[in-house]
Amino acid sequence: MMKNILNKILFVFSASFLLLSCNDDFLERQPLDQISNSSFWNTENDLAVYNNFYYHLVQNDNDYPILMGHDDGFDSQKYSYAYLDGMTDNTAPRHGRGLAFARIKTGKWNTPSSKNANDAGGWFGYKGWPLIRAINIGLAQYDKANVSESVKNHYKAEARLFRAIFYADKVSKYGDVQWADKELTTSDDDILYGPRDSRDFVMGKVLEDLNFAVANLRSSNPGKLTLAAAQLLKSRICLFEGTWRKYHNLGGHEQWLTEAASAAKALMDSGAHSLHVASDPNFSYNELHRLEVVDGSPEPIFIQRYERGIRTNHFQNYYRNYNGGATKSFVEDFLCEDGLPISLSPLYQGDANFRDLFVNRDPRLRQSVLHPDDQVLYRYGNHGPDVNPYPRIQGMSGGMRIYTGYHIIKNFQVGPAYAGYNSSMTPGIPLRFGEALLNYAEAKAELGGGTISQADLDISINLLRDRVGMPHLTPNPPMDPRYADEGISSILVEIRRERRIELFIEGFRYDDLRRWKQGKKLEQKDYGIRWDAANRAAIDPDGKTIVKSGLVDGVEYLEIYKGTDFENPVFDESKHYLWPLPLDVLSQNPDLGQNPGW
Amino acid sequence: MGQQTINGTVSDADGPLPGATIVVQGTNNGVSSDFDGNFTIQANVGDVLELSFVGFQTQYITVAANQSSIAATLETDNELEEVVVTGYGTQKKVNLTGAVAAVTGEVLEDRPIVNVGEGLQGVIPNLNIDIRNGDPTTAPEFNIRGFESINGGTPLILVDGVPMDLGSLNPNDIASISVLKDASSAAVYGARAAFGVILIETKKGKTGKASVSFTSEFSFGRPIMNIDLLDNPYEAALIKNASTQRNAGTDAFDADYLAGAQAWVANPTPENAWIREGTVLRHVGFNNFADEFVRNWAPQQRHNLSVSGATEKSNYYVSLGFLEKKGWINNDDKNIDYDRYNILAKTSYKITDWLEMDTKVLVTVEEDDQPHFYNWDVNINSLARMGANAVRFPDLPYYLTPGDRSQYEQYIGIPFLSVNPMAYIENGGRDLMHQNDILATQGLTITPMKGLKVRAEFSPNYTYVYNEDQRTKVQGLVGGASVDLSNITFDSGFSTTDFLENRYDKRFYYVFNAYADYTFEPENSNHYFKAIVGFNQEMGNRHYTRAKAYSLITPNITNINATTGAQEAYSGASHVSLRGAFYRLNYIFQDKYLIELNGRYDASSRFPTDTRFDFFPSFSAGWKISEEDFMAGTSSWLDALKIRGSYGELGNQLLGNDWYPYIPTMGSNTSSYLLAAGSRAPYVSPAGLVSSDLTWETVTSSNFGVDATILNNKLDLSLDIFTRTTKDMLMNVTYPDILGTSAPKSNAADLQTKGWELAATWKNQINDDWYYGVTLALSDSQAEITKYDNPTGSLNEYYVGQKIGEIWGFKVDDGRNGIFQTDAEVAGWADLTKMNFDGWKAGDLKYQDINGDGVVDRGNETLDNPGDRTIIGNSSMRYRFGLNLDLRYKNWSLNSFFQGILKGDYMPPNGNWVAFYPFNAGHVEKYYVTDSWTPDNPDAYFHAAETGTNNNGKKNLQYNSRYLQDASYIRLKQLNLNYRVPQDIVDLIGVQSLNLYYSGQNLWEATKMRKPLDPEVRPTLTQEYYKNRTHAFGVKIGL
Repeated sequence: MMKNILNKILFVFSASFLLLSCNDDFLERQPLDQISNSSFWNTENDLAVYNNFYYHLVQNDNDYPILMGHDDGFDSQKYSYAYLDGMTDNTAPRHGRGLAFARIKTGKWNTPSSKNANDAGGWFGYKGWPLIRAINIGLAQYDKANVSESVKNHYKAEARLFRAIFYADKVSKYGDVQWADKELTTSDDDILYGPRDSRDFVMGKVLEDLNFAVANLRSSNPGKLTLAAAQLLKSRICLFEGTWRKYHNLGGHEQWLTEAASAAKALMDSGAHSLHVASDPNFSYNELHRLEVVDGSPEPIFIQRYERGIRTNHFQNYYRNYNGGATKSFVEDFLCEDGLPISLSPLYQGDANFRDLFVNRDPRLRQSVLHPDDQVLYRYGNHGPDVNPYPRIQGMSGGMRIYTGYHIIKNFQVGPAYAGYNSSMTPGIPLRFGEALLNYAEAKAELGGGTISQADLDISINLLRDRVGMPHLTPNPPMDPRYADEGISSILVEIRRERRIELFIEGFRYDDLRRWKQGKKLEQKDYGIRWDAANRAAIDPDGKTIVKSGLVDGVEYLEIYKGTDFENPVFDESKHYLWPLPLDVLSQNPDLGQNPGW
Repeated sequence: MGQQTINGTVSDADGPLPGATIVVQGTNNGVSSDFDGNFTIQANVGDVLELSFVGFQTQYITVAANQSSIAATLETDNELEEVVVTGYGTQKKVNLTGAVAAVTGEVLEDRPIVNVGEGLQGVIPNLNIDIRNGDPTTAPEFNIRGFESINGGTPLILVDGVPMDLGSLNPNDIASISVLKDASSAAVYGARAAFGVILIETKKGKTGKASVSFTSEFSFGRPIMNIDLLDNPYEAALIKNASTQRNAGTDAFDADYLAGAQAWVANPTPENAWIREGTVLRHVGFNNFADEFVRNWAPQQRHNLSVSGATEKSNYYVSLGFLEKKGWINNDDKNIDYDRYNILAKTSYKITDWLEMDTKVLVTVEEDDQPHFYNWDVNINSLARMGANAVRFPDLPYYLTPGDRSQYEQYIGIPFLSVNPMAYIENGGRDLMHQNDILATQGLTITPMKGLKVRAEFSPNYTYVYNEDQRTKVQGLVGGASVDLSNITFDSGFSTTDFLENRYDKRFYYVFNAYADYTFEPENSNHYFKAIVGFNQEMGNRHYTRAKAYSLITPNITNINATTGAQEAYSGASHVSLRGAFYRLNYIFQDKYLIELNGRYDASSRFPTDTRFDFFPSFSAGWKISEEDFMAGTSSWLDALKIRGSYGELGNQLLGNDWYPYIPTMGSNTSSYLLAAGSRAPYVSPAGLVSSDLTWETVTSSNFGVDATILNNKLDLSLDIFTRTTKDMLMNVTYPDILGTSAPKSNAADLQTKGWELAATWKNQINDDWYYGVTLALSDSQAEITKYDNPTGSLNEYYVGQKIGEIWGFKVDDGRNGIFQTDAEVAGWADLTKMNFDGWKAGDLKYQDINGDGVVDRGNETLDNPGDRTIIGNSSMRYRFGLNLDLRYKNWSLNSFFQGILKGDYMPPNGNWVAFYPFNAGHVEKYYVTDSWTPDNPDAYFHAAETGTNNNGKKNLQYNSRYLQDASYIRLKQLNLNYRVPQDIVDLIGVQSLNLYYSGQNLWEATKMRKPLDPEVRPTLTQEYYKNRTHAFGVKIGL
């Protein structure tokens, strides 16, 4: 009996020890659905899918305001390159959801408490470092792959191009920034808690990255960054740095301008891209920005692509309303058909009658701003195409109402604008060939001390002019008296004007004004359409408009921010060219130091 | 039928015992003893008589043939035999030295509760349960003794020794619930027991006659909605205009609307609800969506059948349960439907004297069917609050001109999508869930010699979950409160991108236990030894596959094969293992001095090899003072008094779903970034940073307790005071962002939680007919960070000295002083421009410049420079209590249960669409009008009416002391009236026993929280599936 019992005990315990001994691996549990670093980095495909992560990350336009597209859902009201002009004299957002832009424009902003603050300085701010970490890890690993040097270099070039544009954006906003070109660990105290690196140093590194990218990127890289993209980005970044250095008196700008011009020229000479030509000349300029599919066009160099069911935006629905409308300043910058500014041209019909504004003007005006007669053509409205007379001002009832009276139609596409929630496929076009022409002309003119040859104009600006049927620009145009006191040559005035017109709501103006050190332009009040008795009676007979009006040279215009805290804009030149570092970033590493004035 | 009359006497040591209850077991046949202790009862041969009296041990007497008299002497209970389930065994309650609380399954009976968590709320002090909403698929959150760790942490919940989700368990199958609160009592569970253990034992058969019990219950629930919509569209438009005027200078509603609404209010006919403007038809009436689409009474039913019994050799318990809960949608076909089927079968059989085998199978099937979840636009919250918006294309005598009705008739009844959530609820697809859970246990118990018991058990648990989310296209009209009749267009709104998503989850988990306990109690000695040693091993793995396909060919066929759009497929897998050896040693000397030693050597796969193993010891001791000779003088009123103390260490390995925190892995996925049309970019992301020396969080707890029973067992008191220190908490040390990734978790922070808990019971059998009992559970805890690496004192992180739950905000006075009454007051106030809001004027909040620097701001958001923010409250809920009042009279019993919190603050979140702040969401409630500041209403609670959904509109919604809510409350969770049908009637029907009951849940509450907040739905941002006030009617039959 007792023996029997002991057997039973032995049975139970031996059964249990079977389960636990002879089984040292029992507590070793390796991940089942993830890749380890050591088993990766072998083939070209490994490198390609790793680099795809950069594209994946930068879809987030808030953290990575580079290669921007349009965000989805409710963030479509703020994260798109089309809204960035709200920080400038091009558009005048006043809706509560766009006030962060107005705040920056008018200098009425404070240091954000957090890098994630849903406000001025938080959006597009001092963040996005996971991209740099990913790039630096990649750069340390690409060499492991069993592929040729040129293949490795292509992926390295792609990574370094991302690093360059990320840093260029940070430098443009913050001046000095911390440079990191290796994977940081928690023991890298000297960097983690170190000071910012100088602008000179960082931009030097950025140029190295750009040069490497231009030298090594493939010219064909479907859906991703190409040699042409590297050339265009290099020209953009170098032009920014060159002009910034020149106008902010930092010295050493010639090298940057030379690089800018040569990079643009290389792209122009490559023949890889050309301007978009529309089938209907009425849409020659804005068609590209209204297409749902741009694949056939030679102009886009890089796009953010959208497709229902995978990735969509809600941009078309929100953007008409939240941009506030184009400004008087912008509309008046369009030349007349004779190539002369409205201050000089006999063709200008004045603005007493709203329709007259469009008469004899650069055709791009009527393709950027809604002409009352085009309301049917564009089938423009609020929740759907409507029959209300346009323009419509905030406060009136019915239809699509904005603040300035200048409804923007560049980027307006009737179908998706009224389609279901978050179902827009409108592509983001952050890189297009047209910009290269503008970069080239400006760099050449700056290098030439304010002069440029007719030949250089003909291969650049005049191609843009040809597209819309405007007369050619010549090296010595008459000086627009309105800009005579800016201290730059008349040709530079015209090149800058061309840039403002051509790249409207593509996100350039804010950077342009800062690099030209023309922040003081933002102290000018934003006005909308002429609001004298005649226009008032014609447009708003019931007197419902809530936008107040102010006098410009004795004539009444809608004054967008009158009666609000933004009524008297401030641009402090010792402060506002650079952005403030968020408080939480500083509290983590006080050695970063705040920018002057903040 | 062999029924015989038995005359008996019941007495105790002092003589006859009046008022004792004598019941034939398993029936309602019962009598009470009279003043002389005599009773007479009818019983059959073989029936078991249960003789009971409060404070005495129940005696069982089997009726023998021809037995006509019984004389029984009941022994004083002194709770001598009350046995409590502890880890891997049981313990007499009087001999407990750790902090253990236990209740029987009775607390869960006869209540229309969906899950066990609802039934346990407030029952056991410091077993804190929060239930976020009324959705039966939402798991209650359990916590023992307050804030655990900055990494979270939950109690270990074991059902018959196996970790399980309590949500799906049938409350009727539960025999007992034990809560192990301190390190000493939980030590045998080692690394998972740091924050307490909840042990659930399922029922088993009782010796005696087989018992068959059937319960059937129907209940009706009504959502607890504190919404008081402004049903006058004209007034609503006026105040709404004021709110948008203030924010943006524009009106939300124009003069035409106002005139139309006013006309409708004067004469609310269906025709007047619409006005015409050109070709546009505008809605100016008011629709009470809540009335139309929210059910007044949502039905629920529960049925349970159980059969159980036991003989000397065998024991069985079999039960079948069914529960159905319908939701709040007033459309039977489209309503939310939750069904649950529970099967529990347990048998044990003694094969020989020394060998017993037992088998258990627990099967749970859950099915849930809800409308597809789109977002906050499409749920009960917005539905109930829609108010003055168009629903469907109206049925009017004519539309633009008389006679044109036929032209538009086709549209009648079609919903406008931009404001009509019902369209999505009715036709936007369903979210289906089907879950099967099978837990089996095979156990073997050997009793090789007296005092020694060896047991091994193996419990595999399989769970299969299938989820199907259907987003099917809704057809509706473009437009909201107006429609342009010249351009009526159809749209699919939120359902434009339609899809199907299927997900299969397979989970497997097994527990293996082997343990032996040995009791040694030499006869005629003062010594008692008991030892348990054991081994525990657990392993789990999970797999899932998820597939998603877009563009259904037709909404009627919801299968991925019938789609035409892009397809996505995902899967994941993980596994985890755990192994430990444990012991418990008890020594009792002279039945007065109690000593217990516990320990466990534990290993977890979640940690690196070198730091994987750890030893967690604990020690506890008790002293039964009342047993001492020198206490003889108090024995007349003091029945028992014990003090006890414990100290021990436990580990916390719970890292959420981070199964391999020490192994760097690269992520991989498919991006929504498109390389070309239809071509999603696959990507691999870099490995994160890991720490190679990661190890357990250590939780040290000390506990001191007193248990007393006084006044002839009428009053029972138990008080515990504890300190729990969580050391080496795994924290994400926050490094500067340039690191580019979240820092690896490291063991770098400490936390201390202190608290106490009190359980008191007063019970009194007044006479034969009357009994009453009062039970109070009251507890408190508070936690503080004692170590944390935050050198700059950033307020965005934890810091040393921080009391968990601190709410930082601005100071704003209550009453009229907290709001600027004039613009001049604003001008004279501190500089508000640093707040980053514009247009400060009369009617805005007076945020105080508490640091007196002339500027109201947030400083550097550091401890040294917090600007004008300060600690305005604490969101930790303190002094949680449960109060049970039990009253019985003859066949009636009335039981009421109150539960609540005495101290705690709640700061309503200020995100868009949170309903608390006026005009922060799209609707208008009556209090918006009465409680918003105007020059004529200077004492209003809220600032001037202002639309808060825009960034600038948040200026009055910054966290501040004025809007901080006192979250304390008391709620009548349960009111139960039970009637035991007298035996003579029951006999007529031919059953053994019959009980009828009414049970009400959440019938009443009192709180200082302002409407529409509900004190119990604090965790949610916007109200979800509402909690119900439920009335249940049930019948319980014994066969």
